Amino acid sequence: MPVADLDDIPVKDAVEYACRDADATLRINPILDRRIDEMGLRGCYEMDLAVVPMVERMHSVGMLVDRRHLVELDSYLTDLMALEVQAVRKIVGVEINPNSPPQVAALLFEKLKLKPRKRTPTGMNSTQDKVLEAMRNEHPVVGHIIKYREYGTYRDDFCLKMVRLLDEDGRIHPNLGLTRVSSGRLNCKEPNLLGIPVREEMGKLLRSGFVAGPDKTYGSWDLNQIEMREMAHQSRDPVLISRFENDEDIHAATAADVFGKRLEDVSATERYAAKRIGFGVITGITEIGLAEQMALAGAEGWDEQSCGCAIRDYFGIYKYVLQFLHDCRAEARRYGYVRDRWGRIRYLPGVHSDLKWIRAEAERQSHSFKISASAQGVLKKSMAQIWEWWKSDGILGQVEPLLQVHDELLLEVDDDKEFREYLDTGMLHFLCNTTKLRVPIKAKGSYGPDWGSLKD
Amino acid sequence: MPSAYTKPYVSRGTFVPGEGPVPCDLMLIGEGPGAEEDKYGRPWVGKAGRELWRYLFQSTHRTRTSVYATNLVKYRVPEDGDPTPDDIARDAPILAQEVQDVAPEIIVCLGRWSVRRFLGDVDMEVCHGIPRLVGHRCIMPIIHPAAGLHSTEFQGTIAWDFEQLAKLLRGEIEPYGEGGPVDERPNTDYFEADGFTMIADAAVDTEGSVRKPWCVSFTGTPGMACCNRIGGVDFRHIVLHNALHDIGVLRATNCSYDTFDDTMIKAYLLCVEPQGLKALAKRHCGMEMSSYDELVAHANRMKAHQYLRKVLGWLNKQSIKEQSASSTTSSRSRKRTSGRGGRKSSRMRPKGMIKSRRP
Repeated sequence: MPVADLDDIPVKDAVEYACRDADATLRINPILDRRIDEMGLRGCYEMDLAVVPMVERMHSVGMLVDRRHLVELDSYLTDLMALEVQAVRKIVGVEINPNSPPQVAALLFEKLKLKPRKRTPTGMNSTQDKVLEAMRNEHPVVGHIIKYREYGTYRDDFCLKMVRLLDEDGRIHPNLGLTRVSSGRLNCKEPNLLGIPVREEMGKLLRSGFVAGPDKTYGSWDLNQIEMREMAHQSRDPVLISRFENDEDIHAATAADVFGKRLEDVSATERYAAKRIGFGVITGITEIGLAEQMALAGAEGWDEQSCGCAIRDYFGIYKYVLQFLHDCRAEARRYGYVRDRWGRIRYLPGVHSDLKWIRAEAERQSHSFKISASAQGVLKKSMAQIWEWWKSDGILGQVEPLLQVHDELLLEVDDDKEFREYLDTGMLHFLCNTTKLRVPIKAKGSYGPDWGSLKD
Repeated sequence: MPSAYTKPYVSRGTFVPGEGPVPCDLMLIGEGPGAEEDKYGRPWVGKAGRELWRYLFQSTHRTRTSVYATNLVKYRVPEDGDPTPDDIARDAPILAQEVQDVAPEIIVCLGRWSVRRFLGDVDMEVCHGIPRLVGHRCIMPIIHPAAGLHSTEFQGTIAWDFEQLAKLLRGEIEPYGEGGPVDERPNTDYFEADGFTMIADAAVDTEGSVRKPWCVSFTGTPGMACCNRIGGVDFRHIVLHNALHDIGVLRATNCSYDTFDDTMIKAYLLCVEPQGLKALAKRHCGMEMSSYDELVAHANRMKAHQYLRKVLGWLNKQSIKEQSASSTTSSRSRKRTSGRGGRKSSRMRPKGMIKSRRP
């Protein structure tokens, strides 16, 4: 069905409409400007404004897509889903639609007599992904249902959906936004390229469908453990700072201290636990949360009690980190909001709530926001500098920004060895030196013919 | 304090009257009782109520004993849905009586249904936290505290609204008139002109897309703006709303600029303002603006009609072709072909058309 645009209405009406928008912008600007100054948000505003040209360029350049790869992946995922349905039938003797909550509930809770965890608002036993994830080890059929749904999400949200969004130039021009996420991170729609899982194999396969143009290559630079470094900077924890300064393997060293072992005796599981705690303290991890994560990773013997001990030991080593978390909560309680290092505000009136879950969420947000928003600011400051460098050097065109994925910058670059080396040097310089922290900022870059081939 | 208002003849759950001192300078009006209120027969005793008293105390240092609290409807709405016009009309006399007896200086309306009872068909996004004078009473629209339970993002906005209430009580802000902020430039001068090539400072907006730009409009004087269809304008400093969209269209129309501002980013950073230009302009400047969808609605309908006429005409032609082709074949094959074709075309053609072609 054709859709009308401004050419289809009387010119007078269209002119009136267009002019009114400009007029409204002019009138609203001083009102907002005054409040930006009153709230001390000027610096933060300028930081966000400085990345607009690069983000706009990301949208206009777009990402080249290998259409065939995505179509093949779509049918591959359909086959995998059929295999999962078959596997369910083989185990329980009946065929179900794993996407149908009533069918799944009937199978799990009536036929297999598994213990229901949660009820839906309509009174049914919940079969949400989270609930199934917690029941994964209770029966082999649960794993197959989870897998089926995962494949379905990949297929329906990405494969053919992305093919439909392809522009005439064979590229996807994602709708990037700067004003949706409270921590200052970018958001992405149509399609949500930031939502493609990073670590999983299927996510990697999906990302392989994004390819560089002729005589071009993909380049990716990411800030190494930037949120942990922000934590070290803001908490001023001497142990954490010295470990970053000495370029130690933070998680292994933490595991050695927590579990009272020598560094070389730390097992992979213990290192993983220390890593989960390290990242988890930013978002206020609890012993229950850690136990769930360890169970997901297949680590045995990590009950809530041992997880609780590990978290307590972690705070015994990084005492200033614990103090920092308390300070963040105190700041939220005192002002009703917290600010990141760049001045960005997050209102958290819930810290005073007498409803426990509202209070707990607000307290968790108080440090989570301060760390993640500050880390995002480090990348935004660097992006602004990098953009100025590209413009002043006249290399825009030889290098094009494609996407900013959390702490990573994805570029399309001329496939010329000399230029790649030149770019790598510049990128590392601006990413590591634009902002100064109490610990060194590290970044690393990698090149590859497509998004999936880049090193994690 | 128990209410003197008696239960009317309709019975559906517990009658939940208002409570608080009578008279009182501050009256809070919510939407309706929830499960807890229905159970205890008292207003604002559930989770949303606990949040309400906390917000109120933190901003104004007032407690539930020093305000009169009630609801728009006095019975719990089934499944906690929106109150229907019948629900509101049923309890309107009780509420009117309460307002008359309590005689508040300020009425705090919590949630859109309560706000609409006093301010008409307004959008919460536009009016929350901005007091208005209706008759001799001040109406303060505030987002319902239950919204903060469903999405923590709302909590900041609710807290800000209560902060505005505290300022109102302290006399630090004045209420607007009944219609809210007034458009100071109701008589505008918007025109099309392509003669400008260099503008110093202006607020700029673009219409169309990068592929198909329609115009660049700009202004440096409130109430006056110019629409340029050919582009090629050099600006020094521009103010945009959603620069991520406008920058591309400006480039496509060969317009240049040295520096820019973005009002959408400003609204976003303030955390408590709507990000849409229309909501912002109405909220702070009293400007009425039509939406794009409203603007092209008639043209869209016309296009849809044209398209459908075209498709139906094509289907009509197809069916005539099929019938003439079937009449030239042998009687046996004709019988077979017309059978298939008849079924096929009847699926494709609307029923009315087939009927009209029959004798």
